[in-house]
Amino acid sequence: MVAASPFAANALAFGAVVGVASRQVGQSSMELFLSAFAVNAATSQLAAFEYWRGTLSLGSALLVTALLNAKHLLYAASLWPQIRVRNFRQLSLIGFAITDSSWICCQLAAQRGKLTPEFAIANSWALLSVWVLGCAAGFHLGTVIRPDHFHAIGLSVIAIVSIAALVPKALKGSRHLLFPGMVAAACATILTALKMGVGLSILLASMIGATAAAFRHVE
Amino acid sequence: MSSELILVIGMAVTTTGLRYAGFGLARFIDRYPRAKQALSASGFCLMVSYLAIQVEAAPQVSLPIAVSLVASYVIRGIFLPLLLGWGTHVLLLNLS
Repeated sequence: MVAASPFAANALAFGAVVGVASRQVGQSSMELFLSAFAVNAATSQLAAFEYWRGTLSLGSALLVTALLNAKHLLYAASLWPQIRVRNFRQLSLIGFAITDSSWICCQLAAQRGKLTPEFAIANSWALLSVWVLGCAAGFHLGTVIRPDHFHAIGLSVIAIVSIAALVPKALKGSRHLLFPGMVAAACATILTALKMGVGLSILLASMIGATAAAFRHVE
Repeated sequence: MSSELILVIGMAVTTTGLRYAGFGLARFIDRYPRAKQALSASGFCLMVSYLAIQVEAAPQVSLPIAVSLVASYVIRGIFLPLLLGWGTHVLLLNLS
């Protein structure tokens, strides 16, 4: 729970932003609760509001969700070597709730050798609860909370700088990761320049980097 | 059932399906040494590609990222480098 605390403020704030936007597009509280709880991915939730605005069809909204959340495939896959859960219940609980911030928390714990299935479950469900709470708060207090309140304290950057802080720690004792990392970064830059979606760019660039690691292993 | 609710359920199934597919895929390919190596590197590749995309999308986060990277290299632990990066970002926001 303590590990999740720096990210809880972030989840609460962005949840509130999504909640405010949800009310503005005319989503019902039931639809918001269901998407906050079961989708649990801010960017795709925000993108799907275009359906409520009438600018996106149902099929397109689902496709956008799949593309934006494609990185979640690799979030789960990259956790596997560290947790190797055999228990189906634990695997289901982690798979249901893991998202950007909880994945970062798990990586932080992995750096300290403290990542266990129990940690992953507690962490991802704590952050999911805060996320749902933030969405509900934004929905009901939409007139009081405004996105620019959060902008001034730069909460959006917490996830980014925490990943930046993780990179040198991950490299210590694992210099072999430098080459695949450079490949992934170069691919991500190229894919973004080609205007590919963020989620898909991250997934493809990471997969190319990971493939480079596999081939280096054979050499 | 309204089309909006169908969309929300579809989004939930898609996203959760991707996460479970990730575990399923990892569990399946874990037995091959090359794939194992790729899986171990995938977390790091995710971090680096995420940072590269953030820098490309919002160049103003470059300095906070650089501060956190250098601080993390020099200082033990994660939270002080995180706070330094965040602090730099807040400082830049208030200066601009």
